[in-house]
Amino acid sequence: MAFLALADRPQSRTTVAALLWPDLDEEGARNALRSTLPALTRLTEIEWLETDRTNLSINSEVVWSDVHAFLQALIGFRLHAHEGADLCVECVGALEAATTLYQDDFLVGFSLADSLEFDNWQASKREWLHQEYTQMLRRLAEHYSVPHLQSAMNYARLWLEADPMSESAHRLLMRLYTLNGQRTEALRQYQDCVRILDEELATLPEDETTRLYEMIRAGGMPTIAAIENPISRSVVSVLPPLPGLIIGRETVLTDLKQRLGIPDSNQKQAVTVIEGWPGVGKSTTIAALAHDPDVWDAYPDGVLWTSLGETPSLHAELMRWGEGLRLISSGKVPPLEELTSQIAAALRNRRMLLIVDDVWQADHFIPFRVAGHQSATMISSRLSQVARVLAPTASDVYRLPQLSSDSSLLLLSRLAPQAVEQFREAAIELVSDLEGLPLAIQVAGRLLHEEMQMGWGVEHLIAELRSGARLLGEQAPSDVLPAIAVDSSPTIAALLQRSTRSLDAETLTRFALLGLFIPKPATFDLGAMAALWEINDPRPTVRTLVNRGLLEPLTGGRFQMHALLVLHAKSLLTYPTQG
Amino acid sequence: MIAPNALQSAELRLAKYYAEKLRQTTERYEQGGASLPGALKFFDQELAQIRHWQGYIVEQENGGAEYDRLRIDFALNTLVTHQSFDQQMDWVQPGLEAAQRLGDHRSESVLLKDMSYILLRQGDLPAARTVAERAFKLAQQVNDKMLEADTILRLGLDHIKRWRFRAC
Repeated sequence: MAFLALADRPQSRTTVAALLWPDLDEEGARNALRSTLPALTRLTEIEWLETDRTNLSINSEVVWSDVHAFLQALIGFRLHAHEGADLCVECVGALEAATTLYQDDFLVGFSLADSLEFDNWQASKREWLHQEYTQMLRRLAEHYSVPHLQSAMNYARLWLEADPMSESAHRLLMRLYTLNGQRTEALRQYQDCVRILDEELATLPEDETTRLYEMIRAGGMPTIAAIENPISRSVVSVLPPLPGLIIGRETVLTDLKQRLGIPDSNQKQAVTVIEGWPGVGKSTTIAALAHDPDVWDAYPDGVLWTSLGETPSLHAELMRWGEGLRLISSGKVPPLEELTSQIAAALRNRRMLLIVDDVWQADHFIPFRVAGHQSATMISSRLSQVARVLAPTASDVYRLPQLSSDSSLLLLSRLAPQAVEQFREAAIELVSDLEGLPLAIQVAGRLLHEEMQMGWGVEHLIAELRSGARLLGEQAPSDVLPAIAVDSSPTIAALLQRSTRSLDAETLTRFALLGLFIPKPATFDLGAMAALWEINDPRPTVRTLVNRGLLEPLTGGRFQMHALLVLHAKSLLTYPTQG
Repeated sequence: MIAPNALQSAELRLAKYYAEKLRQTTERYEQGGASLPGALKFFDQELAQIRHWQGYIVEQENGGAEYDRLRIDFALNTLVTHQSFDQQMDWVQPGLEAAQRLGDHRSESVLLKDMSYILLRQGDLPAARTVAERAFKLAQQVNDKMLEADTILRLGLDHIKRWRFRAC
């Protein structure tokens, strides 16, 4: 129910079944769901659940959910896009109502036995909602700091209670106490900050906090204008949920932030296109970036994010940006070109980060080319050709690397700690075979965890995973997919098919034949492909495959294919077995 | 999806491609000098694929003469820089059997000579001598003087090794 209540559209039965019964195969899980639904609907005479053959959804007309109401308030507030600390009466009411609704963290005390999938979904939603809650408290505290110091302090205390390690909250409370004539309380607040940071993080406060303390101790009076407000100029688009688990991407995030001018704005690149193998973590990385506090500091006017996928509704996606920027008056929908112009004009003097994830055709990006000179645009695509077309220069393309061996093993050990501890050598070989591809490691880790929970040995499963036999048929975890794919819960094979299904028959056959190469490492030269395909000049086909992100050129006229793609190609070679 | 016979043809083409590349590169390696670095780099790059396709060819039990010819091709170029003597023997043995099936005495002689060398390096001196003598007889039979000379050289190595052992 919680999962359905939080979704803003119907969810497929397959998705819900896989989330709740991850240890069953697809048919088993669907059967379990089918037999559970009548019991749920019998709970009350009210028809709260809407079902059809493929989808389930909550009837929002008859079911009220605190999380839904909380999010409605959040969306309403963001649509107003207030600048600075000032809020309108409507927004103050919405935020106060929402913070009252937030009684505790999301689904606290509730868990599903043996469903890592559900745990991850729950954890990411919890983190996201908690973050939104603390930001609401911050906005309210800042809003009330001018006219109602007492109210401001109440919200600042609630903020601190929700996020005790936030130095911004400590500083705000120190300022408010000082302004309210409670200098001793302000100094004590600093001591609390020092103690909490030392106990929890074994670190000292930031210089800014210490300077404020020194100023208050010396009798200084912070002004209202001095209240820091790094993100209050409104993040105008609902961001993707923060990835539940991101490991081994510290260097990548530093590199990408450098391209965004963090910390040196002189190094900012207006456009960065992230490309990489399917499943290498482009969407996860970009989502982590969208939530990064350094990014919020550097782009105080907000982050606009969208995920396009293969067949996007460009107008609808751009409308979301227009609504976020309050450019759309109710009932009037401007044509696409006009909307693009309006948004470009609105962004002209703003410092915003625009993120366009999962682009499949260069043309799809055209309406989103709206950034002003102070903003930056980050795009992701699995297709090399699209990346090259969208990047102004070759240096604007960033190829997202696979995880290192150590990070791969760390990721696997976070997902399946017991399995890695007991079968360390086999685990090392497994991550080596998966060639640092987070998607594959995530799937393997979840399977190993489930197997260990059952008390079974995992040697056989590891062998199956290493051969790829088990991997392709497994569902991809929703938290590592582009947002556009979340609803369909595709298998790994289906995800990979997205890259190959638009190939013409001849090219698809040639791609499938590449599955004959051994996968580790699948590197080969043009001559091998010419022999394999029985043609004199393989270059046109190779060019197509490189452009589709299915082959990667190496030095010396050689090419590489990722192990998972070799497995996918191999699966296309054979006839399905009967029965 | 690809028809099974088309798939088998594709596999055979790849096996042939790597056997031929291996032959050409082994020649460059044996020439030494400026050819050596390129040849060694090729071995490094293609080692996994070459091993895979050699193994594939050996496994095709009912492949016929075409597969036997490839077994011989792989056995004649055993990646000596990258494989242990045991691994080289695993390549030579099926090649030798294939040469015997095809009645290719020259290849059989060369492979026996190579086998003798491997046995010698493995320390099995009697077996090395026996195999080298068989190689020599076959070289005489096909009237290949270079091969005869090469095999005599191998037998000579055998004697030197025996002499060294006795000296110890």
